[in-house]
This record gives sequence, C-alpha cells and structure tokens, in this order.
Amino acid sequence: MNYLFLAIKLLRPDSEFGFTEQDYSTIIWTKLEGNPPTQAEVDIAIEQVKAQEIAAAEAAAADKANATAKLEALGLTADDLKALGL
Amino acid sequence: MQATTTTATTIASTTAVDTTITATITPSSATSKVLVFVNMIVNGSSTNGTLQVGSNLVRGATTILSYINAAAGPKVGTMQSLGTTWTNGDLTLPLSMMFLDSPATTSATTYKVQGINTTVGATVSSIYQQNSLASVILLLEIGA
Repeated sequence: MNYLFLAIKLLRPDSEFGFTEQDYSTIIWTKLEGNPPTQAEVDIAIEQVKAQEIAAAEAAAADKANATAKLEALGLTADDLKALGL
Repeated sequence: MQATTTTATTIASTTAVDTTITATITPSSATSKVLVFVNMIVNGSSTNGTLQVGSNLVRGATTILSYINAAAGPKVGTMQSLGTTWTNGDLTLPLSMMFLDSPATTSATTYKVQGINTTVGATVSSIYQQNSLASVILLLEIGA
C-alpha cells in the first residue's frame, strides 16, 4: 500500500507531486494550493489511512459473514453459489 | 555506462517528474553518438478513472524522446498498442525506450527518465520500480 501517496491525497486532494520510496523529504510538488503538509501532519494522515484500511477489511469480513449466514439460513452454501456460476 | 535503480518513484502529476533512472557519460569526441537504452518497470494504478502514463527521455534539460500523445494526453505507446486499459485497474509492465543521440559535446552528459500522468485523483498514480523491481539505463558511445 502506497501510504504516503494516500496520506497526501487525504490532506491535499488537488495537489500533484512525486516522491521516492516512502520518504517525505523527497516530495516534489508540481501543483500545490497553500502550504505543503508537514511531516507530522502526513504521519497522522498515514495512520488515518491505515485505520480506514483496517476498517474496510473488517467491514468486508462482516459483510461476508452476514451473507454466509443468510445463505445457510436458506440451506445454501458458497459451493452452491459457485455451482450456479455466481 | 550502465546504471540500475530499484528506488520506487511515485508519480501523481500531470507535469513531468524525475524518476531515479539516470546515468552520465562523457563522450570522448564531440562527433560521437550515444545510444541510449532504457528498460524500466512501470506500474499504473487507478480505481476512479482512466490513467495513461507517459515517459520522457531527457538529456540535461532537453527532452529527446517523449512517449506522450499531445492530443489525447500522455501515454506509454507500448501499453496503448497492446490495447490495455487502465480504467479502474492496476498493472505493472516492463517498458523500453531507445534513442541514438548526438550530444555534440565532450562534457559529462546526463540522461534521465521523467514520468507523467494524464489524470490525477485520490487513487490515481504510477510507480516506477514498484516493489524494488529494477530499471536499467544503458549509455553506449559510438564513434563517428
């Protein structure tokens, strides 16, 4: 996951830039409105991105479990859906 | 002269940005030609729109070869010819650039690759040397 990219886009959605590895000090801004985010702001944003990633994975797992439970209530399994090409 | 880089460079810009693909040669004669060959690993990733990735081969500050379609925006010709769409996708490919240059100098001359994207967005980016996959630039002096 390109956390530095996602964090910058979270903080400055309309900005354009490039950087090497995940190194804040290498960021080259080609379009920026306002001041560039600080290292501290970017670090906080990276943690937000990671938290969103975890929440999304947990939500997906919950959705799958919910769907599986509904299938089982109908007497179906995931293999039954595969057999139907779904 | 050959240089290899595994340093990942992320591009999220419609203005060209330097990658770490670069090498320097000092021609022995001003009439020499320099054959430049680049083999690079480029990833394009987008989940909210079409992404076209372009590359420039630059000598000093002069672009000598540009894989950019001015009418439709930057794009890597190889990928376009393959019919590959980067609309809501993620793709990594090896791409090449080759150029026989006439630098007309005996001074140290640096060649580099720049990356550029057609579109920008919250999830639109290109990455050179993704996952530390190596890109190579080879400079070969050819006597006149």
